[in-house]
Formats: sequence, C-alpha cells, structure tokens
Amino acid sequence: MRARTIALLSIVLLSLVMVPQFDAAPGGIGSAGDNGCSCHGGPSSDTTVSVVGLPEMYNSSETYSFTVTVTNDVMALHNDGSTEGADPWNGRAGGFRILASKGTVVAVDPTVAQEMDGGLTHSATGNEVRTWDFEWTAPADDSKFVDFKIYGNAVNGGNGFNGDMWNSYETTIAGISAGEMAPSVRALVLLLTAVGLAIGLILLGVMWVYYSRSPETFSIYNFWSYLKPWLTTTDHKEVGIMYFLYGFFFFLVGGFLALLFRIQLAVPENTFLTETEYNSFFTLHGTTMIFLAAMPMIAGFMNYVLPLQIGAKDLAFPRINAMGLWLLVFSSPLIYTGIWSGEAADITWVMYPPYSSLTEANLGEGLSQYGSNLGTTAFLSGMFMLGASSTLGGVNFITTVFTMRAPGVTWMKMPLFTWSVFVSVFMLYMSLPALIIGIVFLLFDHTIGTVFFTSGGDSLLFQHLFWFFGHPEVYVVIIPAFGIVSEVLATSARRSIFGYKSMVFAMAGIGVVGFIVWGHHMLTSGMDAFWRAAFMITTMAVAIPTGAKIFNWLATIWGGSLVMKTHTLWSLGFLVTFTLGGISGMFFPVAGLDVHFHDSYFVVAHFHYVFIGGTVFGLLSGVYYWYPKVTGRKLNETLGMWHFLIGFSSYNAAFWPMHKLGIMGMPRRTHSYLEETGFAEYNMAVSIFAFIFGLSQLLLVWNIFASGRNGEPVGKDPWGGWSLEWSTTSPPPTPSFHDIPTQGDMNELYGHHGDTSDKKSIAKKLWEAKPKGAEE
Amino acid sequence: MVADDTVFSVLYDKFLFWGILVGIITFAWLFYAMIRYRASIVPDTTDVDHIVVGSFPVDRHNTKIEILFYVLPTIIVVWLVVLALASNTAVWVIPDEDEGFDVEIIGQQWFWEFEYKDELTWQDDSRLSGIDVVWGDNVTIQHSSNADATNVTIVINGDANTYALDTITGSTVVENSFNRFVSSSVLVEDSEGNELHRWGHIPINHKLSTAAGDHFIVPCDEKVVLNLFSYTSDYSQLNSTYWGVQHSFWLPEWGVKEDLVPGLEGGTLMWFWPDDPGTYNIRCAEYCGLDHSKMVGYVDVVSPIDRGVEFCDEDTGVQKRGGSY
Repeated sequence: MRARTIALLSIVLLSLVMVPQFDAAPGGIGSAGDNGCSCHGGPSSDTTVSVVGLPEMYNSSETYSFTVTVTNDVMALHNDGSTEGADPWNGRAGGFRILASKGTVVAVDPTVAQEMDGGLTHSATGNEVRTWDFEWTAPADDSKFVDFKIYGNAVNGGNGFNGDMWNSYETTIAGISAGEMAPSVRALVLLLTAVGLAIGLILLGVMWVYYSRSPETFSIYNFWSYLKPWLTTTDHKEVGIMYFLYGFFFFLVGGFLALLFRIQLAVPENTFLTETEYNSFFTLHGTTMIFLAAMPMIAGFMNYVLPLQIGAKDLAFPRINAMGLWLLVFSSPLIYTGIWSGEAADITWVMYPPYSSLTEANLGEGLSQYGSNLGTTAFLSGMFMLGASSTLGGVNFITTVFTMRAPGVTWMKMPLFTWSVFVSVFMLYMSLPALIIGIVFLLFDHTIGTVFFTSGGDSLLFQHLFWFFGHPEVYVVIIPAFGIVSEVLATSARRSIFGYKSMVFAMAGIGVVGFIVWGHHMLTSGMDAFWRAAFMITTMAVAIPTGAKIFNWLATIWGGSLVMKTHTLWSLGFLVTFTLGGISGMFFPVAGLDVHFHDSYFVVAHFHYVFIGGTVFGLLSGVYYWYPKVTGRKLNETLGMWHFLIGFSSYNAAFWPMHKLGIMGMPRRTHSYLEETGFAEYNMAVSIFAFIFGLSQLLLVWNIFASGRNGEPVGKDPWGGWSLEWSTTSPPPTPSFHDIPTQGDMNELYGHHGDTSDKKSIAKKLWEAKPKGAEE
Repeated sequence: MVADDTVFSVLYDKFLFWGILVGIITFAWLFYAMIRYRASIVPDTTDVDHIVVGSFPVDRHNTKIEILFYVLPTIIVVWLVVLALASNTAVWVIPDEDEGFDVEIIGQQWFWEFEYKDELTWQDDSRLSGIDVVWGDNVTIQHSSNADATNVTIVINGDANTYALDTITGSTVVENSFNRFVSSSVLVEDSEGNELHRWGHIPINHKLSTAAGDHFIVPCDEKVVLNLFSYTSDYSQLNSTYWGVQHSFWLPEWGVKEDLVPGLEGGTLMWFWPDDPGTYNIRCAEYCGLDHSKMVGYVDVVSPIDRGVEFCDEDTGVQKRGGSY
C-alpha cells in the first residue's frame, strides 16, 4: 500500500516537473521568475532605480527618450580600471531589465541592450555602467494603459552574484485618450478577492459547523478527523450535498461575473472592463453557469433524492460517484486558472473554432492578438475533465435506475423526478461523446498544431459536434427541473399528478426529439435550405410534448387544494417563466425570424428565461422542498417568501428588456455600444435589476445557514408527499434504508380513476415486470 | 430596429399574435386554477387520490383529455410551421446573379471589406440638395437652386482636385471625361467645407473597407446579393480563407444575417432588398475575438443615376417579394 502511494506520488511529481510552463504577460505568472526580472543577487532597498524622461501621458506613436540610473551608496561604483588586486574591476557595475506592456523600447546605444523574453536586458557592454539611455515609441492606439516595469541591479564588480542588490521601478502611462486610470485592474482584483474571500468563508463555515456540533471537544487537531470522512465519503447523500454546495458556490461566482459585466454594459462606451476581461468574463460566466453551477446542483439533487425515491441503499457504483464529484471539483481550477495570468479563456462557452484553435504558434509571429488567449489551453483541459465526470455520472445513474429499484417501484410506478433524472442522464450519456471528441480535437488544434478545425479542416464540424451535445444538454438541465416541479405541484395540490403516463411519454419524447434539433443553432451558417427547413420542423415539434406537460401541470392543480409554501411559489413561478421562455423559443427555428434573432440579445433573453426561469427556479423549488429531508429542519418560510417575491420580480424586470434589445439589433458578446444606438436605457434597467436579482440570492444563502440551526424541526414527511424518500427519517440514516422498503400501489386497492379494464396487454405486463436485483 | 416591410417584421407580428394568444390562455388557466383551488377555500383533498407515504397514489387520468393536451399544441405548431415555411423561400432562396446587385463581403479581424461585382453610379437626392451632377465628357454641376455651394472637389482614384463653382450662372463645367473603370466621386461643398451633395461611381471589382472609414454603398429598390468570405488577418497570406475566424454579417435594418465561414471555398450567400435611402448599421454577430464589438459599419442606401431619383420613392414593400411575403 505504502509502496503504491509513493509510486503514485512520484509519478505525479514527475509529471508536474514535465508540464510545459506558461509564459504569461508581465505581472502574471511567468517562467522567468520574480515577475520576469531574472535579476541575480537579492532585492534591496539600498539600491535606488530612478527613471527620468517617461511622460505621464503619451501621444499616439510618439517617441520618448528616458534615462535609467541605478544608485547604491553601500556599493559605490568604483571603475578605476584596475584588473588586479584584492577588489579588481572586471567591468561589471550594473544591469537593467525593462518590460513595457505596449510599444517598443530600444536603447539609444544599441550595444548596451539585447532582447530577452519580450523585454530588454543589458548586454555585456551595458553591464559596465549604471546609467543607460532609451527611447520608447508609444503604441498607435492612444486609448490604452502601458505598464512599465524597470529593474535595476547594482553589481559589486566581480565577487560573484551574492552581493548584488536590485530594486524595481514601476509606472503606468495612460494614453491621451484613455479613460479612467486602470479601472480594469480593480475589476480583476475585485473578482480574485471575492473568490478568495468565498473560499475562506467556506472553510470558516465548515469549521464553524464542526465547532457547533460539540464545542467542548473542539480542537483544531481533530478537525481533520471531521473533515476526512467528507473528503473520502462514497455515501450518495454526502456526495449529493457536496455536489449541491459546489454548484451553488459556482452559481454565486458565475452571478458575480455577470454583475461585473453588467456594470460594464450599463452605460454606453464604458471602459470599466477591458475587452480582454469582458471576453473572458462572459466565457467563464457561460461555462460556469452551465457546467459548474446548473449541472452540479442537479447532480446534487439526483444523488440525494433518486436512491431514496427508488428505495435503494445507495447508488450502483458509489466509488465511481465520488470520483465523478472530485473530477468536477478539480476541473474548476483549470477552467479559472487563466485569470491569474491575466489572459483567461475568451472563446465563449460554445468554443467555436477557428478562433479557439488559433494561437501565435499557428498564426505566426506577432499575430497573437488575432488568436485566443493563453488560458484557453487549461480551459479546454478543464472542459475535458468535466466531460469525464459527467460520463461517470451517466453510467452510474442509468445502472442504478435499471437495477436498484425496490420491490413495487416498477417503471410506470417510479416517481416523476426519478423518471426525469433517468431521461436526463440518458441524454447526457448519449450526447457527451460528441462534445468530448470535439474538445480533444480542439485541444490538439490549440496545442500541437493539428488542423481538425482550421486551415483545411472544417470549422463547421466542431459546431455540429458541439451542438449535437449542446442541444440535448439544454434538455439535460431542464428535464430534472420538470421532475422537481411535477413532484412539488402534485404534493402541494394534495392530489396525484394528472396524466402520469403522458408526463413520462412527454419527457421521453423530448429526450428523443432533442437529439434531432441541433441544427437550429446553425441556421445562419450556410446550411442547405432543405436541412434548414427540416431542423425548423423538428425544433417546433419539441413544443408539442412540452406543451402537453404544461397543460398536465395545470390540470394537476385543477381540483386540488393548493398549499402555498415557498416551494409551491417557485414552481408556479417556473410555470410562468418557462411558458414565456417556451413561447419565445418558438421564434427561433423560423427562417425569417432567426436571421435577425440569431446571436442577438433576444437569444440571451430566451435562454436566460429557460435556464433561470426553468432550471434555476425548479432547483430553488427543490431546495425548499427537500431541505427538511436533508437537515431535519424547515427553511424559514417568511424569508423564503421574500426571496421568491424579490427574486421573481427582479428576474423578470432584468431579463424581459433583453428581448427588446435583441429586436433593436444589439448583438450578444458585445463589450460596449455607442450612445447613438439607443441601447443605453434598456441596458441600465437590465443592470439594476440584475443586481437586485443577484443580491436576493443572498437571502437563500442566509436562510440555508440560519435554518440549519434554528429551523422548525420536522418529522419524516413534512409536506405530505407519497414517494419512498418521505418514508425514512429526516435526515435519512446511512445506508439510506435499513431494510429495503416495498412500494405499495393504491390503484390495486381503489382502482384507476376512469380505467375499468382488467385485462393486461403484453406491453402492460412488460412495464409492470419486477425489477431484477431489487430483492438484494 | 427592423424596418416595417421586411419578412422579419411581418412574420414577427404573426408569431407575436399567436404567442400572446397561447400565453393568455395558459396564464388565465394557471391563475384561475391557483386562486380557485387554493387550500384556504378548498377542503383537503389528500384522500381523493389516497396519498399515503410509500404507496403509488391512485392514477389520475382521462385519456381523452390527455390526448387533447397533445393535440392542442400540435395544431398550434402545425399552423406556425405553415406560417414559417413560406418565409424559408423568401429568406434563403437567393435571386439569380443577373437579377441582383452582387457584392462580395470579406470579413477580417476586425473590419469589413466590400468588393463590388457590379458597378454603381449614384448621387444624392437632387430635390433635397438642389444640386445635380452629370458626368459624361465633362463634369457638369447644376447648382443654381443652392446658394451655399461654392466649391466642388473631384476625386479620381483617390486624387482630389478642388475647383471653385461659378456662383453667378449657377452652372459649372469641369473638363474631365468619365472613365467607368476607376472609382470617382464629386463632392459639392459650401464655403466652410461642409458636404452638400455627393456623386459617386464605384467600378467593378472596386474594394471599400470599414477599416478606411468607408460606408457600404448599395442601390435602393434592388435585390442586393452578398457572397460572404472570411479571410485571415495575416497579410502574408492575404485572400486565403485559411486561418480566418467566424464572423456574422448582420444588417439589423432588414433583419438579415449570415455567418462568414472560414474554409468554405464558395463562401456563404445572403440577400436583402434595400428600400429607402439612408444610413443604417452593420454589426458582427458572431464572436470573433478581441475587437468583436468594434467590428461595426454603416450601409448607405443611395439612388442609382440610371434609374432616376424618383425610383427610390417607390416602396419596395413586402408585396413586391411575391406570395404572402
């Protein structure tokens, strides 16, 4: 065991050593060490670097002369020309290194300087003096900020490097038409601080929870023995909780990114974010919200609730389940890592090549601004890991539903949430290979110069691969929300769901049709007119099962006695917003409308209506619904009601104007817009309400923490649901059932409403067949 | 904002009508059910379907209603497909080469180039400026109705020459014979250098570029057929579709766009039908890198000389497009 651990660790260490290093922009993480100085000796305040002649503001393309002087009183320059004796002069007196983020720096005397890693350093001749003259030619674009980093080294004249003392000088020169001083830096620092603070808070929160369990025996030394079971658990409930918390954390991070660029978009011609930052932030926002927030939150519900609903002690492959979680956890640093180098991935969440394939390596020297940012490599690796994680989850849940159902839980007697998860993971499992192949090819294009999607390859191929995954993915995140809403509405209306079978068929129907509609994302990509019409028809056909589902939910409420709890409110809110999102969805597959709406803000409005108004509202409903099962306490209903009222209204106020912006002609992924476009008022409204919506989520955060301690304690079944998760204690034991339960069937006692036939068809017998392995 | 008489606007209104209708029905049903069947006025219905923990409750279904729930959306969808299919031909069937005004659009990071495959001679509305320019063997400028006009600048292939106008007779002749193979323009200005009237000629294969501040100039009331290409920004490989990136050429005024796909030999095609003279926006809709949001431009719709000024007054109208569009 120990030998194996050592072997594994050494492999990890070896691969870490062999990993190619990133060369980043000045100020980022660079291979040259110490922010690119490569100074020898040590830093010392005895050395002073003075720079004379650099302007405070520059004009476009103008040349400025400046002088760098290194002084050090402790180590005076003694150029007496002697080459012998105890302290011989060997011609080494000082050195410099100049890094300018823009423009070109040359030495007046070209013999004293040489190029090194994107900056200037001294030559052997330049080593003999401590003062040098340079000329800096400003960039042509005078709306930028130029960062100068100048290192000066006082060299002691021959006794090795040990006595050398260096110091640095930093300044930022604004272009004559640049905006406010370095606002971009503030945004980046803000983001990093917030992320760091959040991680710190999470750690504190975990410690506080641990402390509050038994304050008497608290000691920092046995904290590890508390934490370790959480890190190594394979129990589906604990993994589920971690999935959810992880997803919820990234929901807040993604929301925070959105608020940053909503500030940027609030007023025309804003310069709050630089273009690079804006492009990276919306890329990270999209990827985070889909892959790091929505999917993990759903996975949290799946993990926690599904085994309980089908009466299983755990999932079929608990260890694979835990592995899926940790793959996901470690993929997020990869996705975000580019931020620290100042060049996070800027390839949008759809990652369209050729742009995402292009780097300086395949574009040519000096053309890197036309290609994607450096962080893209790590980003794509992270996406690859996400794909692996989801595949493992898919295998696990499909197997679990097939083999682990308790007696009585036949296919057509499964709770609708379980059905929705089954359809959803099945779609995920079937569509993921296309994405993973696309990502791997893209990664090859980006790093080792293959040409799958560029230069002779087919850039449209990636779009097909991506959307063959991407469109089912949309249903992967919405169908579990359908399941949650079905559970919540039926329970709250105190009736059984109307048309259970037609609900199941509708979900399965969406699952099938969802695979043949991907082309509607590419209607303007030069597709053949026949296929455009074909994809138009299949896409519109999705509205049929979806419409049937909405009508069935309405019929479920009809004739019941609707209990207005917070989870009911969120589900009713889901019905409103999802219907609106569904109606706007009907506009896209149509030729005459899509040629205008494609990639406009109308699209942004539509998918936020279905993602937030659909998926997130469904999940919030699920949080209020199953929280008592997880913690044994109810969430505070008053806080919950305020959360709903503020969240629901600000959400609509924030996203509804985006429809108008799309019709007016605002393209998505736009860093800034001109005053004359008339987008300003709507954008300001969107930004304000987006902030309110974002802040309203903090009510839920507070509610989750506070109610865990002070919430009203509940029994097994606080809301009156029928499925098996309510038959066990709150929170459930581990393993989740001591004895495998048997699900009864009230239809056997009381008969179907309206069905008098006693004869069973073959199809019926198949549906009602006992699951194998359930008796174990 | 999209113009009223485009396929987009007509179709949008129809879809909006059906969308609102569906919305009203659904929400009316939802709000009625929510209020009519709320727990505070309806006695508890737990026993109706025998909801007991651990038992599948009594199935609540009515096959006829369930089928109806599938049929209702099907009817709406079929009707919308019928509405929508007609627009397919209107949008994606490209007019013949000899029927339309052909231009090649080249997208680079981050500007547009317009290479004309048909020639265009045009001038501003003489009725508004009071100035008329005719260029045959000589340039003849009639400016008697506009007292402000003092100078004329004649630009031939980029070389500009300025002449003073004969303000006494109100008619000036500059000797210079017209050559249809070079790009030429005539700018009539007032004493402060403000442009009063513009006459222009774009020869075949002439290139305009938004990088140079040019507007995209198209004739009114003619089908403009665009062939779109994405080229690399590396000038050593100019005119190569290799290494270009995706763009999307969007004209919000006519509600049309099409992607520029790098690597497609024949490029992609789109068309639109400009109507009223004026200046409209061009945007890039597909993310193409750093300056994506600055990849914008303007279209000038102008009246061609050979059709006469009155030609632009006619409404292109959706009716002209044939069928219900």
